[in-house]
Amino acid sequence: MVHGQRTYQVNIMAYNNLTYVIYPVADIGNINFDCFRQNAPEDITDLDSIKTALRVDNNDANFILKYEGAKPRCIYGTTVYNHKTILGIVNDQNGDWWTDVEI
Amino acid sequence: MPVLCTATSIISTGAGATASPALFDSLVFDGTSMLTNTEYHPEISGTGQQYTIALLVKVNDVSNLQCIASFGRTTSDQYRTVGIDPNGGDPRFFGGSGVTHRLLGSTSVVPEVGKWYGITLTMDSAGSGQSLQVNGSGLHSVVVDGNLTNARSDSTNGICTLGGRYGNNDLFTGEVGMFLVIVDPHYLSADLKWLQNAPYSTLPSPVRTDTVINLLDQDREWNAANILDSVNSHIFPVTSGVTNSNDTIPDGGYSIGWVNDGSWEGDGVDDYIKLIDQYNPTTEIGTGDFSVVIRFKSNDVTLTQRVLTWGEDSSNTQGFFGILVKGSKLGLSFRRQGTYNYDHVDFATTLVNDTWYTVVVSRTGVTIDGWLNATDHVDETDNQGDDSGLSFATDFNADDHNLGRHRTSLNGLFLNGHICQYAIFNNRVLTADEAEVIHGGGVPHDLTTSRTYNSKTYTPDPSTLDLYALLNAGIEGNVSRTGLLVNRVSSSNLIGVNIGGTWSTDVPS
Repeated sequence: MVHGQRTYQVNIMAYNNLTYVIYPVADIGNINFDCFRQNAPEDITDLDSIKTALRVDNNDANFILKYEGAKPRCIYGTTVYNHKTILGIVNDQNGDWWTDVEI
Repeated sequence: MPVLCTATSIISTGAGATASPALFDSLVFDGTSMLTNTEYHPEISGTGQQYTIALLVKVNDVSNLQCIASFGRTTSDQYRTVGIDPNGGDPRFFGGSGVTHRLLGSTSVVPEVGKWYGITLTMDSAGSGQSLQVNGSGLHSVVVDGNLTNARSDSTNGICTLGGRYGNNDLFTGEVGMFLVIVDPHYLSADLKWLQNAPYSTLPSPVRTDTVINLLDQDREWNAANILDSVNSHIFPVTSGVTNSNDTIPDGGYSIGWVNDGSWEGDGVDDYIKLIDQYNPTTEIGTGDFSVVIRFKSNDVTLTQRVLTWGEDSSNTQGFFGILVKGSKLGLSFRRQGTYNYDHVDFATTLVNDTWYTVVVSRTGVTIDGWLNATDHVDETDNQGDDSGLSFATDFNADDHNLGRHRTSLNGLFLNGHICQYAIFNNRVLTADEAEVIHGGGVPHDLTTSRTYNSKTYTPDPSTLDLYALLNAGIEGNVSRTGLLVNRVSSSNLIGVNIGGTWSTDVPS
């Protein structure tokens, strides 16, 4: 697309290759965040810190990790989701990830 | 336009200089000549003297030993210099007392040809805590004990040079866009952090006007009679005036690469930008009139998503202001401090996926005006907390300030889409006409040449621009990691942290 003399690049969606998993907050100490897109919370023992860095469900029981490429060893055994699927989970208004708003 | 500094340059030395040169953005040094000023020689000598020399420079040669600026004549004067040392093929900036007395060492920043750098050389009150910093404090700095308490550039030995050192030695090849000297008692290295994102139009308020001297006032001569200038009335060469062509404006004085355009992209799952404590406006936003501008798009307008969230802790002690996508509509939400009910108004436009929108919101008194793409207008008046009208937050500087997410303490409402620009005008009410200008018919402003000071593209009066964030900072940086800072343009600090989003090249077109 051209505007004047400038050319803009069309972005290719960046998330098509990401894989998402849902992981227990209680086991966050097992996670090597170098393997994931998210950085480690400043304090993995502090829930507020965890919520700042990661998405945590309404029960404070699970959080979401995402990675690109091969599945990191530390999450072997977990179910994986693509972007579309995880969006469906977190936006399920009857699910544990949905926050209703009055407005 | 740049001014080439040559032997025949109209810029002269000392008193009796010739007519003032045309306006320019920077001085260009070709390595064959330099500027010398014997009339201006601030006292930067003596035990206990504090000073800061600040430069904004573009490097065109890294293979030769060069002095960019100096005070004093000889090493016996313990003169101060800032320059470039080729360092055997591993070039570095240096600061110290002369090119052969680089007591301050060099920074870890590797000067690259064609890029601009903000440099400060400071001395603390003890005369021993010298600091040479490139591209701002906290990024790259060295602090060594240079013990340079006897350096001077005084009435006897004083001479100030730019583009070389006394005697036409070690001449500089490059450009100088700004040259400041801040002298005692204002050793304020922290206040010079704006150089990290230089250039800026104003200096931080703690710097007293009578202690800041800009030696490169663009519409003045290199002349002792005119070089003294105050901060409040002064406009930096790189940001001044309508006649400034800006064609040499630094855009590369950063430690990361910059590209022309870009945006931040959130995945709708957990990405957002958290404005952090370092974003510290001098005036609380929301206590008076204000305006915000944000340009965004959503990948799925049917999802409920926060584009912007201000305030509202669990007890709502700060009030709330938010921009929300819900049911394919864009809405503005407010919640008066301490009240329960939200007030909300939707724009009429039905949003379309993957389409950029410009949102301008102004609050004046008890009235809120909003424009979506300049033409879709909503306005409401506060009814003193009655849910039939809008109520207004009173302090948005406290508690959450998120882009692309609801309150941090709550779950959900992450933006699945892009944000490319975000601006806050404090104590200013943008008008419908200005909203139209900002929207620009969907055509983005030319951010290629003006991204570091593009407040001009928003308003003829950028003084009330409290924050401007062009969210492309990390495109060539380390993407998608927590901790990647988002630069604040209009002042000294960084505004926020990218919590996981991706830097995209996508911009409105």
